[in-house]
Amino acid sequence: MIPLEHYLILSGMLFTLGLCGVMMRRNVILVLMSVEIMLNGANVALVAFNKYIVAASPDGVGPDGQVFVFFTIAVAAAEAAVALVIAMALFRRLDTVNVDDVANLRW
Amino acid sequence: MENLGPWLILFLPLISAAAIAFGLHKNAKVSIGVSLAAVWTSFAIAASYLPDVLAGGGDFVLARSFTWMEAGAFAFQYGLMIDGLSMIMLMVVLGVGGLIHIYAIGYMDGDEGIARFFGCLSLFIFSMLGIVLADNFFQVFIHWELVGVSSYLLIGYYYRKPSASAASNKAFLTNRVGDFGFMIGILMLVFATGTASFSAMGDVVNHTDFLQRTFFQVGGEAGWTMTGEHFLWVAGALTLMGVMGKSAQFPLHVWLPDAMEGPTPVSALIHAATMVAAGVFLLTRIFFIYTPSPTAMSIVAHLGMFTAFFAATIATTQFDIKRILAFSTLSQLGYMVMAVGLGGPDVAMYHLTTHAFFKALLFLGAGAVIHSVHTNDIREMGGLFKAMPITAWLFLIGTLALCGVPPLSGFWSKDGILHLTQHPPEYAHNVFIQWLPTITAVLTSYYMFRLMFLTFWGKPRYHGHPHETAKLMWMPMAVLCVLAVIAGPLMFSSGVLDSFRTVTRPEAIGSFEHIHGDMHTVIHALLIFVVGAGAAFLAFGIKVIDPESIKQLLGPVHRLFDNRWYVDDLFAWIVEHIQQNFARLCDGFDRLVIISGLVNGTSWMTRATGAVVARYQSGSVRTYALLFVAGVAALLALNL
Amino acid sequence: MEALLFYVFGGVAVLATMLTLTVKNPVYSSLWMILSFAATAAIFVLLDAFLIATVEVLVYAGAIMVLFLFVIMMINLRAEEAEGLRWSPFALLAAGTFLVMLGRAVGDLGPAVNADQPNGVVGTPGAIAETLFTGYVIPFEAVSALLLAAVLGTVVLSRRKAAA
Repeated sequence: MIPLEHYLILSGMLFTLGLCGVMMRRNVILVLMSVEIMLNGANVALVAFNKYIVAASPDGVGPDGQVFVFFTIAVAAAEAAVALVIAMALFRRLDTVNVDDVANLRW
Repeated sequence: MENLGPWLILFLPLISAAAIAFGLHKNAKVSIGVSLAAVWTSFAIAASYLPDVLAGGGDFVLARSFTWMEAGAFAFQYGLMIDGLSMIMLMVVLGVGGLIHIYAIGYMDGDEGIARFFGCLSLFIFSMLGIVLADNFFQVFIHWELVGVSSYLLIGYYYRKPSASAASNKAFLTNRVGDFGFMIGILMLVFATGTASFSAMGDVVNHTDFLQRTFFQVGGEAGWTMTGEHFLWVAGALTLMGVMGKSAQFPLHVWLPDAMEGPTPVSALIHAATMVAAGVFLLTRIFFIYTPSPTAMSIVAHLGMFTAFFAATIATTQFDIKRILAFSTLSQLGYMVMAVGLGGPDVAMYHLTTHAFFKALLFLGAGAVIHSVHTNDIREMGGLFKAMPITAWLFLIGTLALCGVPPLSGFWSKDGILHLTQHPPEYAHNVFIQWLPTITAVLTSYYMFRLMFLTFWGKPRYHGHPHETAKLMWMPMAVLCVLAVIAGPLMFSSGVLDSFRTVTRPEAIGSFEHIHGDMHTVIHALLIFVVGAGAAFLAFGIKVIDPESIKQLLGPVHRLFDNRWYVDDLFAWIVEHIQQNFARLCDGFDRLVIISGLVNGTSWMTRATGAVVARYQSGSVRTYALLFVAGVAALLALNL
Repeated sequence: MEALLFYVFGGVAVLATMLTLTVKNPVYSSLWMILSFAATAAIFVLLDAFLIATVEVLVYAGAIMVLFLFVIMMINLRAEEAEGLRWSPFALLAAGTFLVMLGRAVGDLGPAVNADQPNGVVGTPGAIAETLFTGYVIPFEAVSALLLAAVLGTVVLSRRKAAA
């Protein structure tokens, strides 16, 4: 048996790697990809918890955690689509996808 | 009427002043009418209480008050009290004031600011009545300041004249100096006795163990203790500062001669009859503060004595008719204060009343003369008896009253004071008290008759054609003259004097009659008069003695008197060198530390901090993401 | 056996993700990411979440990554332009702290979870469908609406200026 903690550590590592990507990548598209990685890590955690949770009612445990993951995947897809469209519009306007070049909202 | 009376007396003049200020001043006649109506109506209402006061024999007190504001345990009352003492002052202020209002119609005729003048007069009457009717210290103080303001406005009436506005400033500032001590004295008294009301405080001082109460000790049991008695004399001395300022005692007298820059009705009303008397009135009102302490009484007595003598000496050298009268007022005020200090507040009030009558008369007469001859300088007058007989006769009677010639009113009151100096209490038993007041009385006769000889008799030295005074002007003078003649016996036979003796000095009830029946006193008074007036006659009347050679003889003494004992110069020096330098120091501190340091420094600091912090608003998404993560990590680290 | 599978797939997932972040070429990045998703799907299978594993491959690896690749190619992203990672020690520190904190949280699980004994949940399409369309029907509808909005948004935002 693999203890729950192992799954959670895996999820944490995926999430942190995504976080690093968000902070350190210079390309807007790749930042968005890192965000997807983070979401993916969260999904792993959700499913793992669903597997190891203790039953609250005598009917047993339902796959509620997996339903949540269902939803997050749907939302992640929608968000990725819209974000990519915005990135493209940005590229058309400024001819760059470098995150550092869009620092217009400064004091 | 019972309830409303005192309030009406007090507030009618205020309403008049407000009405004039807020619009009536456009119409001079209406303003004058309103002001006159206010004063005389108040007089009538006040007079309606006179029978009650006299019948009650001093026990009658009509008091109304309400709580104006409260702060915790301390409540500030505003109240009015009509008793024997305030009744006397009411009659004087409103009566003499009313007469001067009438005189002023004639005197100020044609002046473009006349409506403003009457508005200020109404304001003054209101302020003065507030002092007279007040039943507690704080109220007195408020009205004290108000009177100062009114005086400022009226002295500086001819505001375009630089000397006039300088004089009004001087009056106000000198008063403020006195008021500083006054306020401290009031606070000391209020917080030591726990009340600001005169009657309540009197009870505390007289009927509890206040005098034996220990305030603090220095050096333990065997050392020195500050008892209630000591406390009272310190507080009394401080309160005396207020009296010094308002009643122009030495050394805060410097404003009164300069105050003659105001129009003559103002000089008559404020600086002869009423405002300057407010100090004496106050001393009488709070006499219970001074009686327990011989030291305090001694201070008051000697201060008054010195002021009287000092002012009289200066008056002998002056050539401006109004200034002679001003110094004479100073001198008489000194007499009044001295009388209080010698334990005779009733005598002081008596003199205050008679003085109000004849001094106002003298000032009005002087005003008439000035109006006629267009100069204040007595060297440019002479022989006016022929040109203005009515004025001259009235002035002469006033002068005789001032010199204490029997049977005029001045004799009764002044001699009452001189009697006190010959039988003084323990603490004032010295050669000065015995002789100086008498010498001062001789000087008084001398300088007044010097004035008479140079102004009304002798060869005419004036330019132009002086005419007799207008009826509107000499009628009030005539009324005052009658009062100056009969006020003496009238006052104590009517029981007015006794009515307030009950409060201040019960043992003195009925005490005048036996003094003045005495031929000894009459001869004493006549002797003083003859010596003084005789000297003036010799020098200025028949010119047997040459005043010039006397001046040479007295040399430096004369110079001392002529320069007003250099007190004004001393003050000017103090202000210029000490105060101004201190002010410059404070200014420097203010500019450097407070403005550059604190104020500008704060703004600089804000801007610098902002500049530093603003660098973090880089607009870079990556930086924001980094900070975001760092924040979350920090939060987790702190909480897990 | 299961443990071995877990460590293998787990390791592949982490490694693939690390490579996603470090390679310069964005296309290679995407490919490594696809591998990462595939490994994650295997992890899901280990957890008896069969439908989710399939959805992961179909939607995540199949649709989203394809979308990314399209966009990358559309804007002609070249290796030179991408310039790889920008190393920031501060960022590593922050992420490291974060991970450590997560580790501490993991050590502190509550009574609602039995860390050693997995329960018998099986994520078959039938079971998920039953839960989804009874208990979670309203969020389901909401997500549908969200997807509709996303589609509309995408269509609107991708227009060129000349459109009416």
